[in-house]
Amino acid sequence: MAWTPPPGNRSGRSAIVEPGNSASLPVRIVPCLDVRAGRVVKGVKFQGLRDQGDPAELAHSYEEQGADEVVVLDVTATPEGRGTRLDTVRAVRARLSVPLTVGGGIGEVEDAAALLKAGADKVAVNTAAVRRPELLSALATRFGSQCVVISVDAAGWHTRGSGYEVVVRSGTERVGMDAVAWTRRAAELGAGEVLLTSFDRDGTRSGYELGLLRAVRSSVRIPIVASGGADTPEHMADAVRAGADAVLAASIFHQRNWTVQEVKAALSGLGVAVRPAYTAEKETSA
Amino acid sequence: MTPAVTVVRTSTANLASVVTAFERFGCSVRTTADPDAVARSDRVVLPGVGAFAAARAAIDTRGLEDALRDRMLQGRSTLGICLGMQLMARGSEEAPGVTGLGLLDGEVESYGQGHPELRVPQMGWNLVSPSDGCRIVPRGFAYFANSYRLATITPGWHPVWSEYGGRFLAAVERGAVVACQFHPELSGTYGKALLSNWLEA
Repeated sequence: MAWTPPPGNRSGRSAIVEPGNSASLPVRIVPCLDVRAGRVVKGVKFQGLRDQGDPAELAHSYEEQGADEVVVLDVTATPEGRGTRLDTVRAVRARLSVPLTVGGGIGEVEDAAALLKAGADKVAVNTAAVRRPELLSALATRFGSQCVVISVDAAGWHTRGSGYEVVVRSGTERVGMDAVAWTRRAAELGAGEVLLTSFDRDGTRSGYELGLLRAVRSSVRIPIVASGGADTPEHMADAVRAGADAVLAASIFHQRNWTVQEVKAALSGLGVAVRPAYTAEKETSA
Repeated sequence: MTPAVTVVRTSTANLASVVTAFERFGCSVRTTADPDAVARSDRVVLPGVGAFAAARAAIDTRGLEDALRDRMLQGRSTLGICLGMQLMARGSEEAPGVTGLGLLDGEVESYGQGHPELRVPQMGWNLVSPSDGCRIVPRGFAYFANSYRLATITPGWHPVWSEYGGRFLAAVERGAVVACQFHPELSGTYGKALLSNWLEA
């Protein structure tokens, strides 16, 4: 699909964050690798998984395209699969020199320790934290909040609270908790970032759930990674305006509709600051 | 040539990313908590993830303070990363009463005092601007993941600045001794350029 810059901003120049009292960083573009048994897969609303490739190869290629970090989610985490998962993390780490977040099936502090030792920089916890919120405090105390991501899967809950409810076990179970209140509690317990996935939008490519992003943004200070529904840079720009600090996407990158580089160029044209590629400056010192 | 790099192991730190980053340069990397090895090694990395007080306690338990302080005072090749930089200061608001190594002036303070608009932690890529005289840290975007930072200049150390709710020290360097608040090992091509400069210093 062709992207055309909006009128009035056709220069194609990057919108660089100017030094100053800036309160925000360039939006992070985060390709997500949903991994099952050592292979990247992707489905719709967490179902109907199809093979998309080798995780280490994909992670490396996304870094070269300009990805600001990479998320690996073990979508069918099982006790038997844990050894495979550590092998996957080691293989991805060997090819990746930007941050790596790993999630899926983390039930204990020791699960997180093993993933961090294998090369993860952050761990994302979901179902286990819903069941035992104190897990978040234990992780933050041992590894620091900057290592701990609360992964919240939220579905529409139209009659109550914020309008969004927490779902767990890959969306198969609704737990009757308000998603916004839960995210706030998780931040208080020590989570340093929230990976906020709209279950209703996941894999649909219909845009991020902006109401969910706005509701969580007004409620927490920790960075928000928006997830579920990305199809175009316009969707990502909308998410940033709704309060996202990072935008996660899977399908659009795996299916090569967009490269990360193309997404960044398009976002710049939409007035959203992105991290430019690094180019070494000539030696200026005498 | 394959330079040898010694990575100091404090109990809480995640070392895989640091070790892998140097292995990409063909370095032989060892992790250790042995003060003699830290004193003797040509190049030492003091990483750090976790809490100030816990990391300081680990340094004490393993008797590492003198080895770390001495080599940095002597200008021997040393790289402090994130909490590793903060530990070089006099102390931290994160752990009142716990002293740092005292190589850098000032106290480490939290972000966001008077800046309710700031996301905390700072998580992401920020522009790093070296001052005149810096030879190792380039200008460019580096990856940060921190809630605390140092903002006080220490005479004799070249400052490298970033902005996040005000100016703070992204890094300092003095000869072959470099301390970064950000993570060069997670900063892609930019980080590789920095690590290459340090290995050659």
